[in-house]
Amino acid sequence: MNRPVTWQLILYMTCVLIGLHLLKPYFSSHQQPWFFLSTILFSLSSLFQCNKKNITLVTGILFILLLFLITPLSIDDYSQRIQSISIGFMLSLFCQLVCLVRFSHREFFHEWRYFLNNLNQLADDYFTCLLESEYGTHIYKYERRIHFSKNKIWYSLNKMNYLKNRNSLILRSHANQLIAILFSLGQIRYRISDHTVFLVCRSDLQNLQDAIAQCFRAQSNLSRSCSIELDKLNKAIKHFESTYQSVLQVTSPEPLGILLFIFDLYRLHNELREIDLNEYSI
Amino acid sequence: MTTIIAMTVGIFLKKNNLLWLVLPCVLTCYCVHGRSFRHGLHAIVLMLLIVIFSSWIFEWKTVIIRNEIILFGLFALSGFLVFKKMQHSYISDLTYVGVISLFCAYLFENTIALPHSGLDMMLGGAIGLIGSYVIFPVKLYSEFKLSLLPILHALIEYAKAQRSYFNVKSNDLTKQKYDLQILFVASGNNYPDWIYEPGFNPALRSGFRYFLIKIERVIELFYSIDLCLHDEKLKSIISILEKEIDVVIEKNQELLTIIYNYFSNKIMDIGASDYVSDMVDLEKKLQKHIPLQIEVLDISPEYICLTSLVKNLKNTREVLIDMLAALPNEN
Repeated sequence: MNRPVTWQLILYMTCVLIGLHLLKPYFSSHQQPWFFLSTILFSLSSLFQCNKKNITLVTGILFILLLFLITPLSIDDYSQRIQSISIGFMLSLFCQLVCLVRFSHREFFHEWRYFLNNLNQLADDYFTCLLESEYGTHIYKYERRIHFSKNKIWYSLNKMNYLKNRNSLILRSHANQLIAILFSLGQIRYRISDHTVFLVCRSDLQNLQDAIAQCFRAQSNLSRSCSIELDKLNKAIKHFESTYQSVLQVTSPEPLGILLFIFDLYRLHNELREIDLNEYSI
Repeated sequence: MTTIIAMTVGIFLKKNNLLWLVLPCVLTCYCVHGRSFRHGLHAIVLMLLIVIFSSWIFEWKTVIIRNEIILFGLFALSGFLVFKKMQHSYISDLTYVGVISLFCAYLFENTIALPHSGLDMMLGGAIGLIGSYVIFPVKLYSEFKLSLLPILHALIEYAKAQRSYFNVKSNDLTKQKYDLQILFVASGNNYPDWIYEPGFNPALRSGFRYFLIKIERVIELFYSIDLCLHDEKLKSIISILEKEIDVVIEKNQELLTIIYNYFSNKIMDIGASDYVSDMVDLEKKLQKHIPLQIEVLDISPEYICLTSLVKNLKNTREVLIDMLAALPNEN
C-alpha cells in the first residue's frame, strides 16, 4: 500500500475512531481495552508498512504477546482477548480498504512535492552554514542537521523509485541530478576556510537562499510555470557574480571555491528551468 | 538477557504482576543505547510520572470522557510519530517511552497500586541501567564499525563504476547511486545516527563524529564527480585528462579499500603506493591545457567544469588521507 497524504491520514484516523465508537458497546469492559489496543496498533502498523517497515508489524505482535505473557489470566479471558484483537484487526483492515487504497493514484506527485520540500530544507541548511559565523566552532550541530535533511531526501527518493507513473522515469532522473547539484553546491562550506568572506556577501547569500526556496516551492506544483521565480533566481545569481568579480575575487583567499559555487548555482538554475519547460501530466 | 534477569528477580521476589518491573527494564535498555546514563534516568522518571498521572486520572468518575481523552491523545501522538517518520533521537525515544507506558497504564489500570508499582518501576529501571552499562554493555566501536562497513563497500563499488565510465562511455552510475541510497534507507536504524546525539559518550564522540562527517563528505564528493563526468560540456575536452583522472580514481578506490580492510579485519596495509604524485600530475596537465588565471577561466564553462572535476577529485583524496591518518594504530 502507498503512503497517504495528510488529509487521507486524517480521514483514515477519523474512520477508525468512528468504528471504535460504533463497536464499543458490543464489548465488555474487560475486552474493550484489548479491542482498542489491537485496532490502534494494526492501524499504526499499516502506516509503517506504507514506509516499507514491515518489521513494525512483527514488533506490534510481539508486544501483544509480551503483554499476554506477563499478565497471567484464565483461558476464558485469553479467548475473549483473542476475539477482541481479531475484531480490532478487521476494523483496521476495513478502514484501510475504504480510505487509503482509492486515493493512491496521485501519490507520485505528492512524493515529488515532499522530495522538493526536503531539497529546499537541505539547501537552507547549507546556506545556514555559510551565514552563521559559529559554524566553525559548532560544526557537529550543523552537520547533524544536514545529515537528517539528507536522510529525508533518501527516503523520499527511495519511495519515488517504487511508484509507477507516466513521468516517473524522467522526474527521477531530474531528482538525482538535483541532489548531485546540491551536494556540489554544499562543498563551499569546506572550500572557504575564512568565514569572514561570507560576511562580505551576506545579503547576496540571503537573496540566493530566498530565491532558491521560492523556486523549489513553485516547482512543487508541476502544473504551474515558475518562470517568475526562476528569473528571480537568475537575477540573484547575477548579483552574486558581480559581487564576486568586484570584491570577492580579490579579497577571498580561495576564489576558486566561490567560482565553482557560482557555476553550481547556474547548474541548479538550468536544471530547474528544464523541469519547468517540460509538461508533466498529473 | 536483561529482561530475563528482571523477570527472574520478579519471580524471586514473588511479585504478582511483573509488568511494572519488566516494562521499565525494557524501555530503559532501549533508551540508553549509545547514550549517557542520564538519558536512562530521564526515561525512568518519565515512566514514574506517567504512572502517577494515570493513577490520578483513573480516579475520575466519568469513565467515558477519561477513556476518550486518553485514546485520542495516544492515537494522535502515535500517528504523528509514525507519519512524520521521526528519527531515532532523544526526544522521539522519550515520546515512545511515554506512549507505551500510557498504553500499558490504560490497559492494566487495575494493576497500578502506588507506591508498590512505583518501587517496582524503579527496580526494573535500575536493572535495565545496570544491565546496559555493567553486565551487557553495548560495544560502541563494534557497532560503529559494523554500520560503516556496508557504506564503505558501496563507495568502493561506486569508485569502480566511475573508473569503468572511461572504458564504457555509455555506462551510467545509476545502479551504484541507487545502492548507496538503498543503504541509507534500508539500514534505517543501522546507520550510526546516535553518534550525533547529545549525551553520547564524550570520550568517543569527537573521533566517531569526525569519521562520520568525513564519510558524508566523500559521498557528496562522489555525487559531484558523477555530475561533472556526465556533463555535456565536458565531453569534448575530457579526453585530454582521461588517463590521469583514471589513475586518481583508482588510487582513491585503493584508499577506500584500505579503510574498509582496517574496519573489517584490522589490517592496515598501505604498501608502497604513492598517493601524491598522481594528483600532482593531474594538476600539472590541467594547468597545461587550461588558463591559469581565474579571470580567464571564468570565460569558458568547459574549463570550469573540468576544474570542478579536478577539484572534487583532489578534495576526495584529501578527505581519504585525513581519514586514514586518523585511524588509530592497533599495534
